[in-house]
Amino acid sequence: MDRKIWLSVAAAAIGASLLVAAATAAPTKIQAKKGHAAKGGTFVVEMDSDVDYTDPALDYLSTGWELMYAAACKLYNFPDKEAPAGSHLEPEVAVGLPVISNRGKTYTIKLKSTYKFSDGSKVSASNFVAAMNRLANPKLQSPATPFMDVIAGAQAVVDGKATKISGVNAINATTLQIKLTKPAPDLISRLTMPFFQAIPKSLSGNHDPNGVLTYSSCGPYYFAARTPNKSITLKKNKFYTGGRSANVDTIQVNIGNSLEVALQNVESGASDYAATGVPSTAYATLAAKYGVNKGRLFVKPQLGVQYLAMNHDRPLFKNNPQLKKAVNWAIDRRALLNQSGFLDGTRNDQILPPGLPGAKNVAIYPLEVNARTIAKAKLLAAGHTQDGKAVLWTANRAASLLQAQIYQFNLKQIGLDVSVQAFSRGVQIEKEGTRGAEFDFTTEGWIADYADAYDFINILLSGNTIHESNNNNVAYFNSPKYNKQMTAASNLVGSARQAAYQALDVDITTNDPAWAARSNFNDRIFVSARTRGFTYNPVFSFDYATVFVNK
Amino acid sequence: MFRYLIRRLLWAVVLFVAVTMVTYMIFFVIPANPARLACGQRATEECVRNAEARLGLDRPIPVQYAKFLQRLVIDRSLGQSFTNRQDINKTILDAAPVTASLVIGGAILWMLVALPIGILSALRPRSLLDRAATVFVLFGISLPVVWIGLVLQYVVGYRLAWTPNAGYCDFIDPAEFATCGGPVDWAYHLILPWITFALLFCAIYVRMIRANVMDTLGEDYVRTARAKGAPEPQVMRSHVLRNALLPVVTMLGMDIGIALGGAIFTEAIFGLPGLGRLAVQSLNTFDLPMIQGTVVFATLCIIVFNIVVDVAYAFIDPRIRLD
Amino acid sequence: MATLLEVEDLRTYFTTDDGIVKAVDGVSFTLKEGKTLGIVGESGSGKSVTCLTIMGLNSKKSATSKGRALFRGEDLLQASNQRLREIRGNDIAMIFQDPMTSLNPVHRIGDQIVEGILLHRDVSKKEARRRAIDALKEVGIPRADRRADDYPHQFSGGMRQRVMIAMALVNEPSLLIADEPTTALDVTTQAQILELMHSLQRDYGTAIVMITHDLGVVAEIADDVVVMYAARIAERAPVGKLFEEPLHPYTWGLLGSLPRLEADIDRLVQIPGTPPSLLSPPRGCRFNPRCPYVFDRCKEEMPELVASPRDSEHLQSCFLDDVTKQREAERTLASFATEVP
Ligand SMILES: Nc1ncnc2c1ncn2[C@@H]1O[C@H](COP(=O)(O)OP(=O)(O)OP(=O)(O)O)[C@@H](O)[C@H]1O
Ligand SMILES: [Mg+2]
Repeated sequence: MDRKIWLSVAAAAIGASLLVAAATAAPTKIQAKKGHAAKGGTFVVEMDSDVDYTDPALDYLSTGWELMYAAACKLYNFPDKEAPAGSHLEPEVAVGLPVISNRGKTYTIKLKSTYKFSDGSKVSASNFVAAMNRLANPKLQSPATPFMDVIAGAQAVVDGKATKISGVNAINATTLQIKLTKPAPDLISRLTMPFFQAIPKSLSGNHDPNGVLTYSSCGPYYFAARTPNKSITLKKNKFYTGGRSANVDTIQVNIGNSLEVALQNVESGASDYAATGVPSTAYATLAAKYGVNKGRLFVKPQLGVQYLAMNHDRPLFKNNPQLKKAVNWAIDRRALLNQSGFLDGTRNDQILPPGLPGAKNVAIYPLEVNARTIAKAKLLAAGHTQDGKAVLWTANRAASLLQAQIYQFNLKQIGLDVSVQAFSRGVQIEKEGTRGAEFDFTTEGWIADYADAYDFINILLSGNTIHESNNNNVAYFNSPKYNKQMTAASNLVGSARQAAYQALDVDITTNDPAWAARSNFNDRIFVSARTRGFTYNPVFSFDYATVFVNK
Repeated sequence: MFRYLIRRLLWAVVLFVAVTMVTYMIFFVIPANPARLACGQRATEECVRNAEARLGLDRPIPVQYAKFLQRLVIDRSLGQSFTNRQDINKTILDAAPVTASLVIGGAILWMLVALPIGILSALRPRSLLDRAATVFVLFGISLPVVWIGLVLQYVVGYRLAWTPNAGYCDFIDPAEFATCGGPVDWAYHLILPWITFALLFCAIYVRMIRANVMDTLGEDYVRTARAKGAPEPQVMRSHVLRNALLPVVTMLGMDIGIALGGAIFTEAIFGLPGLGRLAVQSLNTFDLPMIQGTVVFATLCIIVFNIVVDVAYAFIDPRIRLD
Repeated sequence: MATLLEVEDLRTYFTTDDGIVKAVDGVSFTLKEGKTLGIVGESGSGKSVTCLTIMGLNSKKSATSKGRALFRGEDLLQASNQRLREIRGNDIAMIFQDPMTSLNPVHRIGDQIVEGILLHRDVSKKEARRRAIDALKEVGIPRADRRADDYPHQFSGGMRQRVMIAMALVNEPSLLIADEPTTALDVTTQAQILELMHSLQRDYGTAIVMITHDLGVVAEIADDVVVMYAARIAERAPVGKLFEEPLHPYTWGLLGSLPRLEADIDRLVQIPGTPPSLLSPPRGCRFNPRCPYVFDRCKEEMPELVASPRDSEHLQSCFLDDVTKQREAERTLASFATEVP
């Protein structure tokens, strides 16, 4: 036989085996499960109400960020991994960590040149510059501006005195420079927020305050269509070459079905994922039926904390650490958590949620009440309850009202007569955020904007942030000692930063608790039978880019 | 006719101002700050202040109200949503066909059912049909709409899967990538909402039509018609029904307003993106312009509908004059 | 002249929740072509039901009728619905007490008359309308061609009764049953309507059954009179004889209650007491509880309608002896002789 023929037969054989290998190799991990999961298909999502925006400069709701996580490409990002790896940021479009100079005030970031928007155009440094200029543009009134407070020249744009942020520049296509007014070690964490994703040229000049419904993005997916209050469609970005996965072709979000319907649809397979949840009473049944983390119902911890804030502006808690500790000893964290449905959270007594860099679990207060803990609480409170009267504010939701009753009962045991006042949630936020409001306790919660302790400790507890109104520090906790330590911690980087925040968490909680933290949130995820292999990112929650659907 | 229209219009203006003012007042009595909500979890003072300026919340309430009126009258615009900045005119015009589909379809359904049942049970009082109708009326009136909706939704839509359990499909021109659309899908998805929505009214109308027909059967002019030698079908058609159904037309006109309110529950249960759901959502998010928009639109609909009913009534009942 | 209508022992019972209402309980009379029969009696005595039974207009569900109602020899009680419809509005027409409610408010009056024509006459709509307008003209509706397009509410009560009459007579029936056609009208209009009916009767030779409370009306237009009391006939006679020599205590009472010029009192108050319940009428003579001449027999035995010994056309149902009757009749008449023309 001719050598030529031999060669071509051999080439064909190699080619065929490569094809077979490729075909079998690609979804190995998935094939271990029953059924045949492959790329492609449509992943159908249920949301009971619409996201507020799908514009990268305006979207600031967790359900929206869940979608943005699949659509955006950012300089730094949290990887498509479960906790704890998922909350450790990595360069995405950036190459490595920034070069920091000028005593922490200049960041120089190298970019990869391989990223492309879904319209086919290349992602370069100027796209990130454009994003920030757009965020600061006063016409847009983006909720991102508070996160840009340290960027030099941002305020001038916000104030309408300039159109471009002087401190943000593209040195060349692959080099971005950001100048700060003061060092901000959490800058790269902030840059993981979807606000700071690269935007295409078509969007950079668009300052329509209403925002856009769809745009070309540079992540694995892009927003292909949106009818407000009805549906959102994400399609795979054909030009995406980054390392993240993109398995299904289409993510179809149906908006407006009640939680009951979402439950039915995911149960029957008409939809794949109940993004805004199912009725809270259904979780126990689902867990009994499908088990937890076994394929249908997943329970994942979120970076968030629920707490009972104590108002330090009031005589009851001003310089009264004994009583604050007593409250922490007295509350029945288990009973409180039980009111919000099965597996809604994990009991905790600390400020920082587990999984957040810097968080470390230390046993300080009881997670379970018994005669001994109550006795201890009484002992601490004795002689420190002032006139024995307190006002507790809460939201007029069923679970909150039940929890308020538990607080009432627990605090009665330490000699506090608590009267409960319930408001609609919006009213509660407004009232408790105004200084001088007449409450001693208020029930609150906080979800990480990005995975950094600053977002909890400095934002919620620093006395330097207290204003006349719109306060996040609703404990009105203002300790000069801790204020100083918080500022110091925020200027640290790396493990020193983590250690400093960890010490603050333990120190404040043990010695001068501003709150009684009670639990961390869980995300309860119910998916269809054909849903396979998604990861849950601790910051951005459900990772649409990683999900497969069975054929 | 002309004088009637003038009076009606003046009345509409008064009603409109009253309704919008009350909405405004209620809204400002509630101490929530939409600007704060618009700034999200980490709202800064500055963000809230900017948002207040953008939303116009920094001005005194009368000025805000005047601005609202000015914008409405001059630009014919209801403004923009506080929560998602969408154009309210557009949002409402998107939601209106959904509610219209529900309400008009529901009204047709309830009339289609209530007319024959009501008439037949009036013609054969105490018959089996009449007794069955009485039981039906009792159930229809006493069962809460929400309960009926949830049961239908769960049993028929989910368990038996005879119909979709929820959702809405556009009648024409479905959105890009929409999973369904067209008249058939539209009607198919609306079967359960229509039934839910219509049941209560159906029961009320069966009772009303039965009573009206029975009353009319005893009228002197019906006897006159019989004394003329008119055959029974002709008596029914031309003398009984025509008169018995006159009040039904007025009732229908008044009930459409109430029905708009009732649509809220049906829309919530079946995930219909209509005005009712819009109103509830905007209440939850303190979205004043959107609330105001739905209120204005609903008021407008009711005013227009009442005029239409009045005119129709004058048209079919010669005793009524519009002046 | 030939007999047009012959009613024999007519009985109509209604089944109600409370029991059986014997609304008509043995009524007989005859009416010749072109003549007028007056039926008088207090409210509830069964006058209307009698006529509705003849017309077959009682509710089939609750009413059962016995006896005979021969119209030109044909028993209307046995006639099919179809046959009854042919007769109604064609051979026998009826007008009712309340002209305000007897016309359908939503149809033009012209159309309502046209409906009646088209049901019985094979003519074009145009011709029917022409006839309707003629009929309206005849009953004295001015500008009838235009007013035919008006609705009932645009007419006064008297005008509406004229319309009713036009509607009844448009097919030239041989019998017109008028159930208190003037009761709801004012005095002047009453006279006009009666005059109208009278003249139409002259022109067309229509026989009339005239139901009324009003003996004055009877005196004016009737040839024969039937006095009804509690579903039965108390007295029946040609009109002259009745007024010359009434033979029943109830009739005396009625005559006594005729309006006097000097006294403006309500017509029927002069008979003390109220008519009996037709659910459970008193034993014996039904008038006995109110009768000033009552004696034992009246309470035991039901009097039959029998001819007066002096006159076979004069029938009455009272046990009183003839002498007493004569004496009392004279006394009654004498008491208002000066006033009755
Ligand atoms: N459809 C019916 N069902 C039951 N009872 C009836 C019905 N129609 C009439 N009646 C009763 O029959 C009796 C006679 O009624 P009818 O109408 O004949 O009286 P009338 O002599 O015409 O009185 P009026 O002068 O008030 O018209 C009354 O007691 C009435 O209540
Ligand atoms: Mg009568």
